[in-house]
Order: sequence, then C-alpha cells, then structure tokens
Amino acid sequence: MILLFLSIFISFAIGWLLIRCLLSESSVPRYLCVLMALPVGWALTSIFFFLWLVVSDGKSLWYPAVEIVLFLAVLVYALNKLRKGRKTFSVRTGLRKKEAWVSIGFFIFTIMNFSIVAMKTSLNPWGRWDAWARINLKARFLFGGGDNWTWIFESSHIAHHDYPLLLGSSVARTWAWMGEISHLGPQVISIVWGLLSILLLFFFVLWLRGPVFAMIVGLSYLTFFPLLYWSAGQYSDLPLVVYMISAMALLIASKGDREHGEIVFLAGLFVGAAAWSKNEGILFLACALVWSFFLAFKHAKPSPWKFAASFFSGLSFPLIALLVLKVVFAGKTDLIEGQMSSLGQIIFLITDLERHQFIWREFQFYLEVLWNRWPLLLLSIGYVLHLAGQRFRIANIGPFGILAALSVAYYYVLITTPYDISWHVSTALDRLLLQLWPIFVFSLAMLFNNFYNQDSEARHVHGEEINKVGQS
Amino acid sequence: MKVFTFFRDHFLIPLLIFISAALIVFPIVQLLIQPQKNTTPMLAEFNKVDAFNTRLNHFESILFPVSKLLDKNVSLKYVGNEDYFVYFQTVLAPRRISPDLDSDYFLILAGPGESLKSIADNYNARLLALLANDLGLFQTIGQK
Repeated sequence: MILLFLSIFISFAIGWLLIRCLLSESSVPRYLCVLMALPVGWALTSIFFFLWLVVSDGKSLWYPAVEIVLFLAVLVYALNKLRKGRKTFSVRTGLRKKEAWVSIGFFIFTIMNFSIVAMKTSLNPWGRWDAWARINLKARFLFGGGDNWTWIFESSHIAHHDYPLLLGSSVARTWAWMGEISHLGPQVISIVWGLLSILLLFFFVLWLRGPVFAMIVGLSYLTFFPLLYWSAGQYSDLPLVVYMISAMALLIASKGDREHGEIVFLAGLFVGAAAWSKNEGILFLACALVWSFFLAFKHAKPSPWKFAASFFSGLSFPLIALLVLKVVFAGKTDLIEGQMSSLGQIIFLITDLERHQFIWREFQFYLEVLWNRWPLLLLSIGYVLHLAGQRFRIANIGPFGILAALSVAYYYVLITTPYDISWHVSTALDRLLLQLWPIFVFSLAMLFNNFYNQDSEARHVHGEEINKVGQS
Repeated sequence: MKVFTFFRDHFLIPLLIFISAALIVFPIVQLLIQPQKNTTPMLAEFNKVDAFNTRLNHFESILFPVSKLLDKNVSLKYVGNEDYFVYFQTVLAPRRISPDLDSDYFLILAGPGESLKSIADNYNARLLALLANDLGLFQTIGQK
C-alpha cells in the first residue's frame, strides 16, 4: 500500500516540479497547478516506462531506481531554474472568498459520490471487460513479461494490440514499484482519474468563467452517471477526458500568455498525452493541431513561430513514444483495417438507413435511461438563468469545433464498423458519450464571454503588468 | 435596493445552485448505496459483482498451482474451448499462453463428453497436475 502511494507521489512530484518551473511566471492559479501535476506526471512516467522497456528490452532489474534518478534530475533542474528566476507566483493565483466557498461545496459533493465509487470498486476488482482482458493484461506483460513483453503486440489473442499504452504502462510501473501484481493499483488509479476529470473541469471553468458557470458545468458532469460507473471500470476514457479538457483550457488561456510560451508548451504536452491515452486521442490531436494553427496566427505574440515551437516542444515527447509504438511495434488499428477493405462497402454502410436509426435509438436510450435527464436539465436551466439579462459576446468556438469533429468521426466509425453494429454500439456508445459530454459542457461555458470572464481577462492583463514591474 | 442587488450578484445564483445540487446529488448518493428494484441497467450492474469477475476469481484459484509447478518463463499451449481462453490468458499473464504456440507444456480443457486423457494422448503428453475435473496441466513425453 505504501509503495503504491509512493509510486503515485513520484509521478505527482515530477509533474509538479515541471509545472512549477513552467508556470511560475504565468497567471495559472496554484490550485490548477496542483491538479495538473498528476496527469502530467502520469503521462511522463508512463512514457518513460515504455521507452525504458524498449531500450532495455525488458531486462531492467529494478525499474523504480530508474524513476528515482529521473525524479532527482527533474528536482535539480527545477531548483536550478527557480533559483535563477522568480521564487513566487507573480500574480494572486489563489481563490477568492466566493470561489473558495463554491469550491468547497462542490468538493464535498464530489467526494461523497466518489467515496461510493471507491466502495463499489471492490465488488469488481478486475474491472470491466476491456480493463482485465486488454489494458491490465498488457500491463501484466509490461511489468513481468521480461524478454517477452512484446507478446502484447504479437499474440493474435490480445485485442487492440495497436492501442496507446498510457493506462497499461501506468499500471505496470505501479506494479514495478509494488513488486507484485495487485488489483489495488489499477483500482486506485482508475478512481483518481475519475476524480481528476471532474475536478479539473470544475476548476478550469472556475478560473476562466467564474464560480457560477463552474458549478453548473461541474454538476452537469457529476450527475452524469457514466462518470461514476467508469471511474470504477479501470478504462482509459477518463484519462483521455482529463487531457482533452486540460489541453483545450490551456489553449484558451494561452491568449493571456502572450509573452511566454510555457502555457502553450503545457497544452502541447496534454494534446500529446491525449494521443498516448487512446486512439480517439489521436483524432483529438489532429483537431487540436488545426485549432492551434488558427490560434497561432490570430493571437500569438511575438510570433506564430514561437507559438508553434512551444506547442511542438510540449507535444514531442508523447509523440515520439506514440510513433515508436505505432511504427515499430503495432500495426494498423483493427477498425481502420476493416474499413479499408472496400470503398463500395463503406458507401453501402453509410447509406443504410437502418444503421442510422439503430444508433439514434441507442442514443435516445442513453439520454433517457442512463442520463436520467438531470445533467441536461441542470445545464439548460443554469445556463439560461446565468446568462439572462447579462451582456455577453461569443468568445471561443474552438472547443465546439473539436466537439463537432470528434462527434462526426465517432459517428462515422460506428456507422462503418466492421463488427456487428449492435454489439459495437452497445459496448462503445456510453463511453463515447462519456468523452463528449464533458467537452460539450466545457464548450458551452467557453462559448460566451460574460462579465466574469472580462474580469478574468483583466486578471491576465494585471498579471502581465505585475510581471513587467517585477522585471524592471 | 443596493442590498438586494448585492445579494443577487453575489449569493442568489450560487445559493440556488447549491440547493438544486443538494436536491439532485443526495438522491443519487442514496440510490447508489441502496438501489431500488426498478433501477437503470447501468446502476444495477454498478451495484453487483459481474459474471466475468466471478469467473476470473474462480479460475485464479484453480490455476494457482501452475505458477508453483512451472518457471514463470515457460509458455503454454492451450487446447480447448476458445470461450474460456480469455480468462486463462488473463489469470496466467505474464505467462504466454495461446492455441497457436509451440510448447512442451499444455493446458487442456476437455469439453462435454470428452476425456482429458484421450486429448492428452493425441499430443503424447503426461499429466502434471489435475486442476479441475475437466482441466489439466500436461507435459509432452519425447517427440510430439
């Protein structure tokens, strides 16, 4: 148990030190820096674990020693950088009194729900199907496969051999710390990912749009039952949600980070980590690249090239791991392989009305039964109440563009699936909605710029002014 | 008037949201702890052990002797019903097991009406451990 939490702490510490170095002069609040530390740390350590396996060919004796060296290297770098630079955050980056009360209330609601998730997780210690038959199965080979760790790519009986390894690798490195295969590792990791997804969504919206929007958006996601269900399921959809939301929020916030590229660097890292989480994340990477290109030419100062350089620097580490996985080890994804067989077949599937009707019926089922209508109702009422009678303007349509692109792509994959459509839709739709729903509520919150956001933008400007004063 | 404006701008909406949140979140928490009979399929599934986990626990206890008898690097050829293979694969990992593998060691699952001995004879294998009535660990004798 202690070694499990030590492994999580090392990831957190690596993430925190990196963020501390990057964002010490930015206006990103400290509470967000703390919340982002573990996703950053898990992305880096899981990639490091995978690349270490590739380099050592599975022959390393005690992996935690390697990670301790990595931690010490990051620590020395951070101390050196912080000694040269500013030692404190340059702007007031804590919570205001009203924000603090709303945050505490929301935190209590969240913990109440997740304590039950933790309780119920023990009922199914192996997790749901994909967890034990794929993700944790691969983790077992990554942890204890030795020379044979590449069996996960070679065996014809391990499904989705091409899938990115963020979660599998995170679980394996946790077992490496614990020295044994244990159900506790993936269980704790899964619950923490669920918690991070709701808390990061809430606090990003709190930062960018204020406490009322944060509460509306947070509750709309918290009452969305698949969040609780899959937080106990040990799947990689929730890490993907965390990385997508974080990347989008930081890209929006990068407008206020005109002098430095650190926020853009971190956004690039999150985009890459999303692609390292799931194949759907690679689609998100493509969408985020288009959006970043637009942002670079519209908002970037001093130059779009500096923006691009920062973004690709952050993206590079996860991208290298992904390319190694896809090019060296894994083949094509089974879904694409199946679809590429015949263009005529694809046209036939797309024009088959029954398939569209089937997906729509299933969607309605989730909307009415699983969703329980609460999140949608709450979101609508809160949104209208909050914006009524206020002046606002359209601010960010980027997240909506990403949502639309992802939705169309997911729909296309379901319609043209090479598998039985009823099986594919029934096993995938709730998880696809789990990915899309938080993006939808986040996009809605980011769409309009109201009085609070102007205040938030003012804080950015204020921050820049303080920076200038500090530098002079 | 100023007091009302101050209250509206600073407390009214958060207060309303807190009340609505309490009205929504508390019943959900209650439902999660004690689900009613006419609940949603996902909620019902959330509150009970799924069949796969039950089987995995069962096979984990049955296959426990394999790790005692064989070195962890020894791979296994699986002979038997493919429906059960996924459980054996999960429980035995990181040991490699596959119907396609060439190995001196076999995990044989006999189907209904089949005899373990007759299947093992086809592979010229001897019994190392009888794990269940229809499941055994075997090793080849001489040439396969």
